[in-house]
Amino acid sequence: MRRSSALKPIVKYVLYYGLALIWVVPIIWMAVTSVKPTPEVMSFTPHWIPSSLTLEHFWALLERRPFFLWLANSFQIALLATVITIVVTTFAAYSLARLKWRGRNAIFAMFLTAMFIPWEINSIPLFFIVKDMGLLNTFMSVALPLSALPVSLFLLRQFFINIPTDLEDAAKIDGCGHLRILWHIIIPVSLPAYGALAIFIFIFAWNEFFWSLVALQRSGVRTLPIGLKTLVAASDIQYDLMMAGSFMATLPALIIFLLLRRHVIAGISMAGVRR
Amino acid sequence: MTRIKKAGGGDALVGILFLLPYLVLWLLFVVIPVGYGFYISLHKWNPMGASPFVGFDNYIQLFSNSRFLNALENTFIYAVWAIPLVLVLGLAFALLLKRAKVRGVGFIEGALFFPYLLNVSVVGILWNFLLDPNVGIIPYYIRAAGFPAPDFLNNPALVLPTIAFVSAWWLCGYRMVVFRAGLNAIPEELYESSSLDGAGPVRQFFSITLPLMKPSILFAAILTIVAGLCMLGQVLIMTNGGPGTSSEVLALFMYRTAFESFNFGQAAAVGFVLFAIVFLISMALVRVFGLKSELG
Amino acid sequence: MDRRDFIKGAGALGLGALGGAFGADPASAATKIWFNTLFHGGDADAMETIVNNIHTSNPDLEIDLTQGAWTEYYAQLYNSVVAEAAPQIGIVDDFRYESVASILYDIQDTPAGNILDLMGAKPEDFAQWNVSLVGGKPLGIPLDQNGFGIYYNKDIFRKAGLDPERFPQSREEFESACEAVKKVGKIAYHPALSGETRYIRRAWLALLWSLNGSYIDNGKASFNNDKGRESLQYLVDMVHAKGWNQPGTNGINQFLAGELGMLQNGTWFYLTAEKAKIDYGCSMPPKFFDRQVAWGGYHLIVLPKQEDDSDSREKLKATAKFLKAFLPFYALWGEMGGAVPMLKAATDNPKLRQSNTWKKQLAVFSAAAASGILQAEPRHPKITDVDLAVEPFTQEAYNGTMSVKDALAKAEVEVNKVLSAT
Repeated sequence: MRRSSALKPIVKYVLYYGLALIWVVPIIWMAVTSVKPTPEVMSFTPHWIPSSLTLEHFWALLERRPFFLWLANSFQIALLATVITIVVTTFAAYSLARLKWRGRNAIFAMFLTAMFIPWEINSIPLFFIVKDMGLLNTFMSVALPLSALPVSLFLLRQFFINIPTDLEDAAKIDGCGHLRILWHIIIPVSLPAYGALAIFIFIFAWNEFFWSLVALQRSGVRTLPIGLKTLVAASDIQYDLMMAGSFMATLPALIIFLLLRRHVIAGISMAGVRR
Repeated sequence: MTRIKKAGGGDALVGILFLLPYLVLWLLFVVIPVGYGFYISLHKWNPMGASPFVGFDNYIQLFSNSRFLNALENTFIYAVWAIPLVLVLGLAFALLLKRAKVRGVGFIEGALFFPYLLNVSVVGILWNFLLDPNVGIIPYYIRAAGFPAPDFLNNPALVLPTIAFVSAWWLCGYRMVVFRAGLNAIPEELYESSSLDGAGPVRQFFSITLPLMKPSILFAAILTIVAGLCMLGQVLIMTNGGPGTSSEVLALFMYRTAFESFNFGQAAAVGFVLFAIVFLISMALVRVFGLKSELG
Repeated sequence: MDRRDFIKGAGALGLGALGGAFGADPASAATKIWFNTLFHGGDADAMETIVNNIHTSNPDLEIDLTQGAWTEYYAQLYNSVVAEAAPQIGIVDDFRYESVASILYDIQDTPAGNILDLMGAKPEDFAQWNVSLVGGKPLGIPLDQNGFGIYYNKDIFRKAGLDPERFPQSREEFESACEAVKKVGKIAYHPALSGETRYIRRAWLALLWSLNGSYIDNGKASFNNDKGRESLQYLVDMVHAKGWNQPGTNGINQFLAGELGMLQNGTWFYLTAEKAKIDYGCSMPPKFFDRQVAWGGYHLIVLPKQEDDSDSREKLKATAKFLKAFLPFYALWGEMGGAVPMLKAATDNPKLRQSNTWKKQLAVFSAAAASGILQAEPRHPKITDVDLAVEPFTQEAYNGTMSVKDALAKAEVEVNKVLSAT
């Protein structure tokens, strides 16, 4: 007899949902804190139910920090990185998966090896390279390196390789060029891979921290993670503002996740194997 | 083979042309920085003037610098805690969800995965609040249960394990999702037939699940090691390397050397050492575990 | 949205109307200058008010003000000069001043000439002009002198049977006040603001100076001796043996929660304390050992180096104009920011002297500045690295994870390594 089936269903429910609850309690606490009056935030005893609801921390934050600018910057960088990744890796993956030319396997092996180069720790030389390119403090300074992540290439190449060649052959006989094959045959059947790739890169870029900290130093180009870090102020720790800022930064992800949960998880499970 | 071969590898021109944009980006942002970093590390690098060549001085100074050695040690302490935590929790959650016979598995999976969507600043700020010795709820409930609350982030022995736990909370959902995909790929018949042979869940885990999952677990392990050794965000936000230098990891030491002391040559040397460590370890593991096929 | 953008937008609308009236377009003639500060909280609000005032009376000066203290401020300043995208004006702490000297203009010798002359100011106008000199050259203009004092909760003092209008002046008095506060179930004292590493070091430095000890001397660490040990031991005892507090706590949180009797904190704490609606007083620390002393520092206005072209020379001239317009606001800086303004005319300003800030704390800090109770860190190009080398050990001692003796011995080794490296 399996033990798990011996468990009463109710116990199972409590265990599973209890685990899920424990996991999100910190986020719930963040949300509750962000709408509590300051004395209850700073109180030495927890107040789970606020005595009154207030939005003052949100207003205070919006008045002091350009939160929506950070949000817009993060969004633009993530979008740029996603679009550039998709365009650039589509051609590269097609070349490596569907075209026969000498040396392609050697080049692919090179990309594979480089998968284990943690690019962020090259931030010192990258800083000077990007500076010489005149890209410091631009969105491109973050979007371009992210577009070179080998993981995107692997995902698309893997998908392209498994597409049956029949259709393509017929098209070739009809005299179609590579661009038309790509556009009419390969891309349409690869939409799930593109979905996964887009979700993966977007999230990755949205949360990028290490390199953005170095490359985006002007206040006008700060992203959400970098901007939020400015709330970790030098001396007075204002948890009320911090929780309001953190909660606002979490809201877009929360809303999108509630709407597109299946797609996000499917995307990660497809692309995440290599990162 | 149904593929029609064109005469003499005629795709070469198109092939290279199509590959070129990606190749340029990759060279510029992934490969060249490694070499350029090494070049910088051989200089007393001064962005405002002349940068004299100093040979391996920066490296010699590093290995006699106790702060560097301390950061090296901290990096490994963090890695030793964080990597197994992330992997074990990720795998455990994936197995739990696979066996879950409750309604709303998708919801539970979503809850376990969601922290991954938070950015590192939110994670750090939030946990600093949860762990605050005065107003944090975790120390409060530990005290309420009648125990003395450990000073998680201000105790040199606890700070790195604590940050590792926070990292696991943040990241294990990601591994869980990836492992779930691997588990779902294992044919159900294997379990059914072994059940008929009288194998319990534990034996099934060791005789079926683990062997079949081994390549992807090892692969995930390497990726987690790479990420763990390069960790910066969590310490920068949560402790800034403190207390003392108890949580100063290599990436933070490098960042501070460059952007607090403006000693770019030395910082580049730290970066190169870190690169070498990470690269050699991951290559060695790929070799040892025989993961070549997994890469393709 | 950002309030500044809003104000700028409103200002632009106003300018458009003016342009229509006079047939000129002053908006297009406006020179935009970038001004980055490391302020946050009350002093940031003060600076924003001043900048807005200057813009209103000088519509041709458009100032893009970026504030927010964060640990990356100096990195940002340095990198922006390297990237040839530096702000025209910055603010620098005196203890970081020499480490960024290579990226700052000599303000009497910029591509646009002598900024001080263009401002119509003289060195004698400033209270401590010497502060601005590095190697005999002024790389900045003194803005204010800031430093630590002790803020105390008068309600807790009353509860503990202490006189809320008279802060302890001697060590014995201070210690018995701490015991009295402890007796009524409150936390007695936090010597180091939020408890961050640098504040612990600064709290120790003041005690060291009180014993007439020194930090570095003749290019070497000079604290690993009886004076160093006695002062650090006293700091450690505060949070261990004496039980006035615990290591790892944030004094600001404790104070704002009304749980802390006395908090050592900076001039900049004024506005936060006001907002918290706590009945508080402010005083210099008592004379702990041989002399009364508190940690002090300065803020300097600096001009980071620019790419030399006609545009940047125009901007430097605009910067001089801005700084000239800034001079009358030194008093407001003191009133709103809580630090002692370094312009002689400002400290005598009657409006400042009648302000709430003056009554609540600035009179105390101003007197301390004048009498030399506020003491700045020694000037050295590597002082930042020295501080970073010391801080891990003072913090470990404070936390009780390393003995005072070991901490100072190890700190001495590291400091001497830093100072002897080329």
